[in-house]
Amino acid sequence: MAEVDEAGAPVASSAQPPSADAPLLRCSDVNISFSQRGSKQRLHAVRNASLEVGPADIVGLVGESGSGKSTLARAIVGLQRIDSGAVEFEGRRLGHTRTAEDRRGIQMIFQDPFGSLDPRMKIRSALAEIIRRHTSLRGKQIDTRCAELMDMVQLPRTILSSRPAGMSGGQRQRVAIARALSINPRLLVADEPVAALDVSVQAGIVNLLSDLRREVGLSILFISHDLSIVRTLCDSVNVIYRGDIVETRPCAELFDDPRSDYTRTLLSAIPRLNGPRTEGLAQGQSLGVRRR
Amino acid sequence: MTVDSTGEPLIVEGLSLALDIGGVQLNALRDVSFSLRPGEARGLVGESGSGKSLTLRAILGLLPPNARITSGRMVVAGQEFDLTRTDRDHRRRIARLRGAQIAMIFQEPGVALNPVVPVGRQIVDAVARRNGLTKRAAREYALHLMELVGIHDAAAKIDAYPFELSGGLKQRVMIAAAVAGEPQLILCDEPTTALDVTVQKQILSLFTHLRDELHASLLYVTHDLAVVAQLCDSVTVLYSGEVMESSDDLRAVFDGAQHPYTEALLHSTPDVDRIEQRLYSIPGSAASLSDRTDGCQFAPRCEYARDDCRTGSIPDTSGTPGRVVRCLHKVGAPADGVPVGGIDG
Amino acid sequence: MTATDAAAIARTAITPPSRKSRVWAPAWMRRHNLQLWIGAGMLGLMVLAAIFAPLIAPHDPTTPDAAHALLPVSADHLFGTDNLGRDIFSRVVYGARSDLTIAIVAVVAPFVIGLAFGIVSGYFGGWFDSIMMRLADIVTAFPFFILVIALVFLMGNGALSIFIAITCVSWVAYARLVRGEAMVLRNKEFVAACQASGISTIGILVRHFVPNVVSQAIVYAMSDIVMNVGVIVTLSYLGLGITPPTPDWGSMMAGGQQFLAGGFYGMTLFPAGAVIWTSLALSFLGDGLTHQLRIDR
Repeated sequence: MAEVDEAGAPVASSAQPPSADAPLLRCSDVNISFSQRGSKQRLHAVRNASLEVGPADIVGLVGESGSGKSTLARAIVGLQRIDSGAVEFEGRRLGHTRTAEDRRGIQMIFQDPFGSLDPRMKIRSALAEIIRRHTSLRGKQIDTRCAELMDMVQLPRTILSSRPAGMSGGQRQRVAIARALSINPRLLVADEPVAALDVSVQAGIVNLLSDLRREVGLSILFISHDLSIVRTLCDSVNVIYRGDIVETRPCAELFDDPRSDYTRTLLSAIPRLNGPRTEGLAQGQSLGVRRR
Repeated sequence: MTVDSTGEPLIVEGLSLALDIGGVQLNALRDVSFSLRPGEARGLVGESGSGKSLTLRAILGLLPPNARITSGRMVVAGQEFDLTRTDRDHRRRIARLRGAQIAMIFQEPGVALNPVVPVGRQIVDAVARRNGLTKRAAREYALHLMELVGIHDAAAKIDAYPFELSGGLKQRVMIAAAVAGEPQLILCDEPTTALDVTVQKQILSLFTHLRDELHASLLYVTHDLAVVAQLCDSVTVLYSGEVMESSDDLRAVFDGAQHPYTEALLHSTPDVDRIEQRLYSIPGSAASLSDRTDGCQFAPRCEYARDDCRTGSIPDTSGTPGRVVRCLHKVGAPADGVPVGGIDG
Repeated sequence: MTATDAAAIARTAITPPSRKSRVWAPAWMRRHNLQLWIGAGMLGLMVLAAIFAPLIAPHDPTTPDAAHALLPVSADHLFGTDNLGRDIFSRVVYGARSDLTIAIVAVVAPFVIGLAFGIVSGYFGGWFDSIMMRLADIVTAFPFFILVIALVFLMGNGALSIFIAITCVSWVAYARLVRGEAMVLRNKEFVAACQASGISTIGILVRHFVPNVVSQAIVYAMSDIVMNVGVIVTLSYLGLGITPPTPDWGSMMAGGQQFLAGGFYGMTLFPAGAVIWTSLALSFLGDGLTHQLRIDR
């Protein structure tokens, strides 16, 4: 733990100036573990995980529940301590205690659109809070910025004076994105941002993220369990299984030629609209109902 | 539409339901009908607010206290029920169906398991009660079932309490308990939504097995069209409490959707085998319960909608037996004039 | 779609808002939230009476008038007179002054202390939380009334010691309540979102925790005022509370007790009625508020 505690102190190895093709975010050999109740052994949630996100890249991090994908995401934004390894952003090593400058660079959105906004706060106040914290904008300027943000996430400006209660899941998720983007981060960590949304709505959010990358050059670490969406959105994919990143490949390659067994299992398990019907149980696995 | 009620394990006809929200009666379901043949798996598909879970709960008699069924009847295993009745006798008859004729599997397995009884015993009890086995044979069978639903170390887990198991494991225990009695009708409400895809695959295999080998009928409520495509024979698509499209032949809908909503829903479902630059997204969002209007509920978001879509109730225009399409301007129909297989046809 | 989504749907459409009331009220009353208005109205009347006591009271509440002792209800003496010839109506009105003032003031301090400790305890957890909760356990280990009476006994009679005694004992309930709410909030994603975007801890606690937990505390405060009225009246009834001749419902009831056998019910009945009126008003108000605040969410 001590290794990462020197907050934002430049580390010798990252002294070289960030070149054009240097990654925006680099995690190297990150280990994260938790103490378990009633057990001396620690639970290793993430083991020696390394991943990179380049400028204006959308990188997928795919895994099932308990794979450690969200834990790694939380570590990247500084919500979770790491045991060892390094999280580097723009060539600077980030400690657990983040400066305002560190926070400005990386923002995060979450899965639950009903939990990620303060139910008591109007949207304008929620945006203003973070704008005031990180920029010198005040008064009218904040209102202007809020209006811009609403346009950016394709929401009517009238939303600003409402509270989350009456809003749909898709609208809330757009607000969460607006909030994250309000201070112009370079990297957005999106933890299952569409998992809780209806199919017809999730497409809109996925498209919005894709637009943001194209229009403002936003880099995105897209965490999901849904490979179909990852294929549409991402340039490259990291597959994480029980804390280990088992495969890191460009999207096109991974889907056509998965190398790790786990990726293959995962790909074959995805239900398909036009795929063959699910087969019954394998031979010798009959239900064998017994009656007297 | 009258249905010959012999043989069908489940018929639901003209189910309408109102919810009391703050003293106002709001129509949550309007004239929902479908039936299941023996050994058939029907997908009941819809997004949030479509009324799919309410439909299932209406069948089971497990509605929230502010819900009132305004019309509808159902037939389960030859017994007929007038769903508008609320008297004690009627409630008892419905309650007797649950667990005996109808097995139920819900999305949240935690709620359905008794927290202070080891999971194994909950299966054993279900097994012993339904199959008339001895305790010992029942335990052995419970172990077998647990392995079958993909619990690898069943012997270790059989004496665990629900809180000691993960969500996925609890769901499998639920399924094991539900299928123990070789039920002829299984109602599922998003049973795999909270599970990982690899687990989901095993559970779907299990359902397929139950249907193929035991001729159990399955009513599968979900938002996931791909799961329906993998598992079901027939499909009913709900939107804002109304049946939009329904067919006894699933592929007929999936390969040739006639209702604009079904088409849009299929179109917006991401497909891992299809590389797309942009996903299709349906404009707008579903109207809330209190904002529902006359006419087609999908009309405000529909690109085919015209003025006549916004009044009255929309008839079935499919013209094919076993198929329902409640739309005046179907996909692929001529741009103006009478739609194919029009109202008179 | 996940569990959260299902839960959200359940919240918005399927489940009716839970309306468990402390006071029974017919359905039509609950539907329009009449409890809130009736409660507010009833309490309002009592508060107005307390504020404008000198204008409302037809007689001086403290001057004895032996010539007019124990008079029955009449136009001049709406509630009759007591054994010393003082107008009961005037005394009840002035009693509202002393009792309501202490009851309401004695809610504010525990409210603020409990809110602060509860939020900090719930948000940080750890050793601070452990100490707070053990302290709370110690306070709750004693019956509420016994502890208050013991403290008042130590500090002597009077409004100030009642106020301090109530504060010492009843902040615990607020702290417990708020701590529970804060622990739920701590795991909400919007709190993580705030942390991730660099909002300071103070900012998170003040701008997000306080508004989210305060409504529960306010609802509880309503029933707490009822409790306080009970405490003050009981203490005064026992002779530990407000010192005579200051009018107070508790000492009035205590004084009237010995005349009950003689058929003079007014001395006890009317102050008791005032206590019931106030308690009922606050209960209605509490229920109404619960309902109102839940809808606003």
